Amino acid sequence: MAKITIQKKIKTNPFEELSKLLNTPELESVYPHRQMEPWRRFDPAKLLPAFAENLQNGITMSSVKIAESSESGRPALNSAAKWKSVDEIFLQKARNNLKLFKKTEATEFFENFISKSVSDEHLHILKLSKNETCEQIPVIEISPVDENKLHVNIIYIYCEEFSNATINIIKKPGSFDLTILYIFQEKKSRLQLRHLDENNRPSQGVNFLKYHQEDGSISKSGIYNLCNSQSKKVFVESNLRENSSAEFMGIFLGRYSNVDHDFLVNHLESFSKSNLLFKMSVMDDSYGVFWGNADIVAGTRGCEAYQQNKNLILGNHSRVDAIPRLGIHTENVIAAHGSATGEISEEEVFYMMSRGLSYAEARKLLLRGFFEDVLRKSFEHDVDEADAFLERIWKNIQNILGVEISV
Amino acid sequence: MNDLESTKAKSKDKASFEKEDYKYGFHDAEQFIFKAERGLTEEIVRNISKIKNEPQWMTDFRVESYRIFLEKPMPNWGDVKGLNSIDFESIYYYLKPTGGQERSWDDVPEDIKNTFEKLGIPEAEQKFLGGVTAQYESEVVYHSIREDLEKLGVIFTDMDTALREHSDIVKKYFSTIIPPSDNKFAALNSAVWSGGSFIYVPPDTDVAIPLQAYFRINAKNMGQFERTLIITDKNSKVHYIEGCTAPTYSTDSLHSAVVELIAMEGSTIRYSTIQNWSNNVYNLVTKRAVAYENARVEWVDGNIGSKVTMKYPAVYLKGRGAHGEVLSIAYAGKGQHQDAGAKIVHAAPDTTSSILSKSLTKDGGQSTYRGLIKVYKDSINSKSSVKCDALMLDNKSTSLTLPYMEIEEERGVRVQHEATVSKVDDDMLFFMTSRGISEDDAKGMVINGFIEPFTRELPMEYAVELNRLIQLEMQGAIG
Amino acid sequence: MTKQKVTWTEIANVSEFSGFNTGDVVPIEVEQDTGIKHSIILVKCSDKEWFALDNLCTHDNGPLDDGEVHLKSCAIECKRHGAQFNIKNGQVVRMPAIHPVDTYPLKIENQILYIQLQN
Repeated sequence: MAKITIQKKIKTNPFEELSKLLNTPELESVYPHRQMEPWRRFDPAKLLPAFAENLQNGITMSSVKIAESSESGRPALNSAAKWKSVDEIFLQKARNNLKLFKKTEATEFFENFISKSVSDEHLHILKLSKNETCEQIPVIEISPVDENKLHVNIIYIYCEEFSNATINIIKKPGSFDLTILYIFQEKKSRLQLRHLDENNRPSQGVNFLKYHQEDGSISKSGIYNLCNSQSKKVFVESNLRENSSAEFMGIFLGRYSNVDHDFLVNHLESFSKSNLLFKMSVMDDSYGVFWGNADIVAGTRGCEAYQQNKNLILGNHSRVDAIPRLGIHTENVIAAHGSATGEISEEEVFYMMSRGLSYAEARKLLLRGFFEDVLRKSFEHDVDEADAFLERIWKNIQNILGVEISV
Repeated sequence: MNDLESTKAKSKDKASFEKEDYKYGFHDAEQFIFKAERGLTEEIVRNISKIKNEPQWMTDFRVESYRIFLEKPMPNWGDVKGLNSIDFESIYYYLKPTGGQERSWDDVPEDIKNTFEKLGIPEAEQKFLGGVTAQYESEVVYHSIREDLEKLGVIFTDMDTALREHSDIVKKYFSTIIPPSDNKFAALNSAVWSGGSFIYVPPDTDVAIPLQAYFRINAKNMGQFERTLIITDKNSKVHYIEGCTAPTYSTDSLHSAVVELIAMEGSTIRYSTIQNWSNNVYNLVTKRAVAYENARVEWVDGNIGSKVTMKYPAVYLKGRGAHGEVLSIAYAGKGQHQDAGAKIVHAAPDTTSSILSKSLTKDGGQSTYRGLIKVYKDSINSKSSVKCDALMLDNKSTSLTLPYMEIEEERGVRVQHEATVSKVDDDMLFFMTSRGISEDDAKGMVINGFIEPFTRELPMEYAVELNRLIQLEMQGAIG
Repeated sequence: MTKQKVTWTEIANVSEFSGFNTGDVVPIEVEQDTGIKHSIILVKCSDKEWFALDNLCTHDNGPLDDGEVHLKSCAIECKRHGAQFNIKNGQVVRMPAIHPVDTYPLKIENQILYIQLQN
């Protein structure tokens, strides 16, 4: 029996209703740059009703813990990396530096909400100590606690000077997730981060990955969104100081999912470099959006910003929006971006079929090839841990596609 | 203006004039028969229609558009501050300089002729151009059509005449591509439009000579609201060029034009514009074309002047095999904001499109590329390629690239986009200076090379004029 | 091609709509058992009958429920950019829309209005 509602007047603005619920002032400013035509693409405002609904059920933290990463049994954490139990002086320094993560208009509402909902005892801090190299790879696992509540998390990864580490983060979503991941890198630190959003249930959420890199620091991040029946908004922001470099690579595979990826790289000082490689593939009523913003402020010299975006539409009413943007305020730069969207090449499928593969197998193989270079880049210099994590990623991909992909 | 000057003007070829200060920074003592008041009311809108003797449907259309203009909000994107500083109440919306339409050059009043002399349109040139509709103060004062065009059945007149003499065609197509509710400035134009060109090309006709138009804003706070409608019937071809200038004034002028192009099956329309408004003009234009089966629409768009330009030539590819192309350059100097771009909508199978946008910025100017490629569902085998290049000439200017790609169909579809932002390459400069070329000249050469894909698409005299303009803009500021 | 079974979903008693005049736009939301929600508008352009259209302007994917109904041409105009659709069959009457809007058959039986959701 279908449920019908006759609206005798125009539908209310989801922003208005939520403002009333949360008793906050106008929410329209949450998405100011979308006000132009807010319905043109997957509007994150569509997440607000679910957000409100889960909010009414209550707020909770997910379970966040560090797991052993290797099968060898060696502890993942040692003096190089400290989880949660850190000294007061360090805590003071870390909190101070939180201010450097500037909030943009688009994200302010959720960020404020998160910081109000999470007390200090629920703040998860991972400290990577000065001059130390973390031998093992800590794996942060985030899992839901209560199906119907709103899960709110703040995780803060702080890399002191000259520290060197690789961290894997595996997130299993709850029904609605609000997660901020702050990453602060002091001078000359090196961090490699791999962020896997696993898929095990329909869910919605808003995720933030915020980076701040001081002079000379290097970061390399892999972002893997493998989604089945999920709706998400992902903000990735990065502030780059002098001589720092940031490399982002990511893949999005969506099935019955709507995911909006909003990248913003701020080149604040001279000689900073960024490189973004993002690949999306959508199928079955999915909608993938890629915003790639690179901002190079006036007065800097020698900054380099590269963006590359490739999208595959696999069929069945799916849609891709690609908006790679550049905002350059000085002449001494090298900035370039490229984006290409299409489908799996029929010619290549035919080539493989003529060598004995079935149509489905050929397409699978080509899709694997599509993601291969991104994944290879993410796991370049790794041994041991690489295989286990990679396998996990491929397994997730297989689950979504519902097919076997030989790895 | 004395005799010596006028002789000088006459003897100069249009392509060889020099641009000192701002050569067109002059205005004749105003002599008009009717001068409308400042600001806009429904009564003024009705008066405009009455003076032009328009049919009732056009009067109703204007009044309805005025109502829409009042209701529509100002855009909240782009140069918002600039847009909100436009004072609509201080603009004159209509001005008629002489009693009627003149047929031949000899009949045009002397000082209007002088204006054209200053712009450098020698009498002899009209024979080559084939038909010039020159607009002065919002009204077509002079226009003549070559006999050849008339024999071909090509209609090339101003919009007002077209409304009177070819009202059936006009009524069929007017405002079908850009309705008044499209945006606030389209609504304003729909209410107070005056002048502009109307071209109809019958089937299987190739108009070999480019059709041109000139117009300028003169009186203080004069707004230009011309409306252009071009229709090419099956398998026809036409090239239309417009290039405009305006004198310098201390208060802001508003130029809000609407251009609608309809390319029927198999036809081709090329629309070239060089805009060089003086640095106090707000140039807010809505340009849109529809291309039917196997038709081709090409926008060649040069934005050199104006204080703020917001212009996004669009092509809607509605028929199978249609092709849309936009080639644009923007130059943003001191105090200028060029917010240009292109929109291409693929709404049929086998459609192709290509956008090439080049921009130059210096002295704190801002140039923005804002574009859209939309591929609707079932537009199988559509291919599109977008290339945006920005050349920054100092570290005070800004270049923004905001491309949007929305793709809803994957079968056979390929959409690609690339953009670069850079400065004049040091190595290249070193190479040239080490061979005896001055740095200024070397930079000039690099810039000319940068905009070459655009200039080679223009008729010769425009290309030369454009190169001159750019060089003069660059002079002194380079290095 | 197998013939899909036609199912009619009950909306409401016709008397619920007596307060609406010709030219009014009535937005309704239909949620099916499967959880899929449809946002639909019911429009009357003459005294005779109601028509049901998707509440979606295909130009910018925004709602049509605040649109203006033109009785003479039986078209609904989207306020934002002036796109017009024929109310009876959803076809595009004016740009900048290009794709037609989905329509849903309606019928009245025993004073109750039904809508057919499977197209």
